[in-house]
Amino acid sequence: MDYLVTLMGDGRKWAKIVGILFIIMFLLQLLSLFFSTDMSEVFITIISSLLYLVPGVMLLKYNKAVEKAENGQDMAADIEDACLAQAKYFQFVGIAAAVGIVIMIIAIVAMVALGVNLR
Amino acid sequence: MSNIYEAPQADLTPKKQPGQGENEVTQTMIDNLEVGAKWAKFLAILGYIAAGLTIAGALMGLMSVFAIGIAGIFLVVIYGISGYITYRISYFIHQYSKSVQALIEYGDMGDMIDAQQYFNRYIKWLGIILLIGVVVAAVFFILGLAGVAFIGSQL
Repeated sequence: MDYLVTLMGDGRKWAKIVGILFIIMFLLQLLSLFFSTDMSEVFITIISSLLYLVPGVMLLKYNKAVEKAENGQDMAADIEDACLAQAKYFQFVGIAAAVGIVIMIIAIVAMVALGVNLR
Repeated sequence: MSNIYEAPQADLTPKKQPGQGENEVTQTMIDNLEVGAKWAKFLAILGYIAAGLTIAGALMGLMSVFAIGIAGIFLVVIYGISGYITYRISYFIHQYSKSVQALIEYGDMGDMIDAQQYFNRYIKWLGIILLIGVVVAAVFFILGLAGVAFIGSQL
């Protein structure tokens, strides 16, 4: 178990960096809201900013849980929390990718249909 | 010698089950990782497809090198590198998912360690790429501002 915590400790620094970068990207997306001209643009910006916020928060949670495991008494419970944060991260990114693919397919189908109508 | 008329006795103190020792993986850890592993596998498959398409793009660029010259070589290098990076990241996620599947099956600490090693590699590569991306974006942003300032001074 100690080796596992050491290993997770090695990875947590990078998880923290990636988490912070995601949060920075989220904040930059929010900043771009000030330059949005219409409501659809605002909506798209809010949705795309969430794509950065949620994984960022999950990775920061992972970092915190591993940090607690390194210092705390209840090592097993902290590793369980870290595993949960890790799984939630992959779950969110996976769902976001699946939704993205569905939207892309709908957009392609719509474009093809629109092209046919235009002709 | 023991009394043969004595009532039979059994040790009823609970024994440690596999996966319940101090140095073992708990069932909660496995349950928590299980959901993530399925999505990780899905992401790995998507990544392999993306890497394949990017490398196909690089090969097509290779054919156009003769037509567009230096720009074609630049295109091939950029597509080749990004295809390779996508493949490596997908490979790490795939191996992570496989290790978690083995962990679910056998409950072995070795598989948990393997999974964490692959997660570490994945997050490290992702971190390096994001850092490079942020630096490149910052450079382009500064160049853009400098360009606007230059055009403004010329008018």
